[in-house]
Amino acid sequence: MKRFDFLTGAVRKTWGEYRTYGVLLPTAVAAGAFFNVMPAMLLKEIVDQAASSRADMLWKLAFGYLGAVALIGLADFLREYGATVFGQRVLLNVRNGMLRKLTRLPVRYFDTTPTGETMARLTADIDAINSLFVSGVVAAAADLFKIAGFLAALFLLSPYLGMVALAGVPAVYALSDYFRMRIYQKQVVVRRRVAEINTRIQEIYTGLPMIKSYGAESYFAGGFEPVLENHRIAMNANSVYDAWFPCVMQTVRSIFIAGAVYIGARIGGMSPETGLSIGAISAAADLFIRLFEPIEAVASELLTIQQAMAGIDRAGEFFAHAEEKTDRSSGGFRPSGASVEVRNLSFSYSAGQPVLDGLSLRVPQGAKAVIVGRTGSGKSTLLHLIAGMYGTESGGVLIGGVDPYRLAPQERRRWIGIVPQTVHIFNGNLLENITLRDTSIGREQVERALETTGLAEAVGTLPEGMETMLGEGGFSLSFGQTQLVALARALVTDPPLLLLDELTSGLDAVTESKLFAALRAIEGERTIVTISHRLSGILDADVVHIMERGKIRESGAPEELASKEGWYARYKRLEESGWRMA
Amino acid sequence: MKLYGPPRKKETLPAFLLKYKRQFFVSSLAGFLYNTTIVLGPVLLGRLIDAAGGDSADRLLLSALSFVGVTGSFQFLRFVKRWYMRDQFNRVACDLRQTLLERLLGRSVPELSRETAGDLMSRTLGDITLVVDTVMSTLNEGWDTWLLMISYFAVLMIYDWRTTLAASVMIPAALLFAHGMRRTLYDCSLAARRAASSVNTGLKRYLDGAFVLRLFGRESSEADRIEEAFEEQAKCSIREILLQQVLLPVYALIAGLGIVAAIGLLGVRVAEGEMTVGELNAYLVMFVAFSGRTKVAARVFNRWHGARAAWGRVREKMERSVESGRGSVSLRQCRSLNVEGLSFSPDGARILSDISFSAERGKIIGITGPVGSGKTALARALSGLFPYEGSIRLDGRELRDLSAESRAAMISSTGHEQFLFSMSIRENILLGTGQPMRDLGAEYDEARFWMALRVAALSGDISRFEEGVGTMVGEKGIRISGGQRQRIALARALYAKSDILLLDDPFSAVDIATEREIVHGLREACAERIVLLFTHRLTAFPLLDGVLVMKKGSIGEQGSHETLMAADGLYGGIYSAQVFMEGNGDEKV
Repeated sequence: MKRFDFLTGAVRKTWGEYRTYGVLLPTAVAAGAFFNVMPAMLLKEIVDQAASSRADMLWKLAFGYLGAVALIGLADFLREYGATVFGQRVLLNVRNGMLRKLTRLPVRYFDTTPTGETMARLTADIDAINSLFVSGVVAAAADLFKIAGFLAALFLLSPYLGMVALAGVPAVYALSDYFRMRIYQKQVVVRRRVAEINTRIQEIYTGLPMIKSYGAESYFAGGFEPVLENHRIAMNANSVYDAWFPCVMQTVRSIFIAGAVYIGARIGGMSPETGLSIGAISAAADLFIRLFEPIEAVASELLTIQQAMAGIDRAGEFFAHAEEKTDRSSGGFRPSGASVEVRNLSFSYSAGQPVLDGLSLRVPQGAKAVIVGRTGSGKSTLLHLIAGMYGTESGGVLIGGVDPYRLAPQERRRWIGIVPQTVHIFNGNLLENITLRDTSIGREQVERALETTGLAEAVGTLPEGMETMLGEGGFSLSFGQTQLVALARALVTDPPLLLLDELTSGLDAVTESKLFAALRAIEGERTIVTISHRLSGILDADVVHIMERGKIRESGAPEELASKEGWYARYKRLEESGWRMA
Repeated sequence: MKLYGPPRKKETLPAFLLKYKRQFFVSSLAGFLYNTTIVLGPVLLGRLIDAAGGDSADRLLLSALSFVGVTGSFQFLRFVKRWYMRDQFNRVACDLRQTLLERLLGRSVPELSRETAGDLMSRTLGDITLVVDTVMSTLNEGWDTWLLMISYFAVLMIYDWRTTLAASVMIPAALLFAHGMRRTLYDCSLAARRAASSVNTGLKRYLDGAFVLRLFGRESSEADRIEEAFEEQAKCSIREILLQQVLLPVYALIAGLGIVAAIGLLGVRVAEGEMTVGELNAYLVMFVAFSGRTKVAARVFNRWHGARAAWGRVREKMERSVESGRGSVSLRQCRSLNVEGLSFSPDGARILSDISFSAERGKIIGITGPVGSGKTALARALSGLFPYEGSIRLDGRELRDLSAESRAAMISSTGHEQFLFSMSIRENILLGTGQPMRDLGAEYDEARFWMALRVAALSGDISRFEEGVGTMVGEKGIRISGGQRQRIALARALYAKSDILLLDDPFSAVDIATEREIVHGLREACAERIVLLFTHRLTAFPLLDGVLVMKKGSIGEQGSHETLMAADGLYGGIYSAQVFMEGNGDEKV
């Protein structure tokens, strides 16, 4: 079966590395089954000895009993040990496989899948696989072996008793399975009801201002009661089975024990000489007491396995996601320069809703172009396509004559520097945030980038300079400094093409001028494409493209556009009076 | 009938529990009886074994039947205990949740704006579950562990007090050992949780930054880091599980040492005829059960710390609101709205100052202005849900003096974010009437409902939905577009029989043609109401009766569309620029 491929692969790999634990496991399971029978067999001797007034061996047997208990503990421990080590290693291999899979998924996957969902694939679902292994398969195997051991012991004592037990096993299993299944089904309902409560209160708590505004408090307070009541009814339905379950099992157990003792005593027609000894009857009662536990457990373990399969299925689905088609590792493509050419490019995230609609654009090497448009006009998408994040459907993007989508990861950073709209600061020090842990970037390169972006001075005042920790729990940079770090991150490899997404939005005037100074300093022969929803701060541009609904509406030098009463001029007027442009 | 709520007098946790006295009494009685009569099980099993060794077939049968019968009886008592306990606590959870929700609904809007939905949710769900579960399992442990151990111990002492004392020597040692190991176990599980959280942090960091990492070709190096965290997590988990497991055989051995004493000492008594074989068996069964409970005896106390904190969090939000200042004046209708010298500082800082204007019944006033000029703040101030300075008069009555009911009946608003509940479209619109949910039908005004749908330009959309106005929205139903959401919120405000409508940005996701259609509809439907339309889009403004242009928290320009256009100020410039841009952008529509 294909969906298990990832799991069998991981098990095979683990077997290669941790064979000892793999072997330990079945050994401990088999030994455990054998040791579990010993106390009952010793009890037989003890009782028979005591009953026949031969007390000389009693202390030896007592310590033998203790030894048996210790051996059972040891076997249980070794089983858990083997299962835990082997299981955790299998999990580790599955997790690492998922991680590598992530690096091969197309950007589109990250666009469309919420972080929480992918997190769940790599954490909760994997834990489900763990419970499948440790509390499912291994525990079930151990319990089945124990059952077999007890049955064998009972057959040894008396074939009659063995038969009674053998008949009892499926009956007890069926009964316990009935309860487990019922409880499970009711729990599914309970979970659904909990989800309903969740939804309801989440809405109420988020919509509180609206509820207050309409004076609808009693409407919602009253409406909550049926939701609670449904939950309680579901809980109670579960409670009935839950409350009965152990009581019924214990009563059934007492019936079997009583039956076993009765039959055991009647075999020899109530005569001690021909029938079972009193020790054997005691041992039989003890074995029946012990037999019930593993049978009940197997029923719940099978349910665990069943539930864990859902986790495996989801993990399998994750591994089934289509990977990026392009072969990036070859790295055979080298742009001939830093010009950007976009030809009749259409693009959509979902069918029928084009974001870019036959867009064409040329930015010659060394030019500074600005693309202006309102939120949702497709600017950022265009920039990401130029950066080679998506394969193109029609038309195409060429950087120095090469499709940027096919650039190797290392090559891309050498050619394209990009400052995305939302700057992501990673937990780590400043140096790492600029190199992104690329050890091939030297410290002096970072220093140069800090110098160019005007950050050097600020870094000097940081408690630990470039080693200052940023991100959660670390030092927090100002918004402007964060933007400058992102710029330094893009510039550190000295790329000939720079892509800037809303670089100055939300910046104060001082930082903005600092940023512009930094940009002017590095301009040189660099090609720079900036996108912005504002017109202010694009003064240095050679050419401005106005973008609306996936198309370029107007293009020209800023002075040229300002002089005619078109988009540019009006856009500027609205913006200057502070009107919302979204 | 009201199903759930707080207990009548005090609102302490015991008071919540004792609201269900019958369940409590029955479960306690059954718990007591079960955990004392349970000793009859092993005792009768011993008698049964003795009977098996004897030669009376009748006695054997009778012993077998009494063993089964008595076991069945006390197991039934156990069921009674379990069931009534669960029933009681399931109800208590409902009471706690309902009480908490009602108290929160009773708070004032400024009080509520300091809360976050996530925090309130975790108090309502997680904290209450933790409190209820902990109390229930403590009570349960009290019966099933402590009383049970006492019962067994007492019977063991009756059988042979010397042997019992000798065999039990190790029991306190086991308890002490478990107690001593708690710290180590805790540290170990803390380390495991830390490792798990560092894995989560690493993964989240990767997934949140996935785009940047790909842009810069840094994915595989990040993946290497996470792999290290995975490795650490695996090691910690292994250590934690092993530590838990290694304790189990130790417990078994400690209990086992007691068994050696029992077998050795009692075996001799049996051999000497002072004790029967059955009694020895019964003794061993009880001793194993008795010593087995030591494993769980200390467990429950670990949970109390967390449960107490959870109860504190629940209590805190269950306090009655201290809301005051709401007047008691009632008002049946409102023909005019007069705002004079209104200032508004919802979070301390003054956002609006010295605003004065008036509006008459049947008029639609447009309120516009740049980003941050105070449009939404004005809508909030006029909603009457926040304290304000100056005067807002409805037919001469001050807004802050109105009773909560009158305020809600007089003013309805679409709110800045149009909030829909995952109910049917119909319910979403009707809830504005403020009736308890089950009484919704009572005052239902069908003609008005369809008027609201028509004016909000929803009729077309609704006819395309398979289930019409019964269509579920949100989580349980279809996904509603931003424009549809705005129009449903508008229909809700229209359906409510209030004389003042505050429409805050109701058209931002609606196209121009629909916007015009809606404004025309408002004209017809609101001849008896005062409509205030807050928006930055001016295309429909020529259709309105008056315009207020906000500027930095005050009114910058005021007048009719025509006068403001003639004045050629800010308004005129923005209006013509917008008309040009919309016209240009609409080519394709």
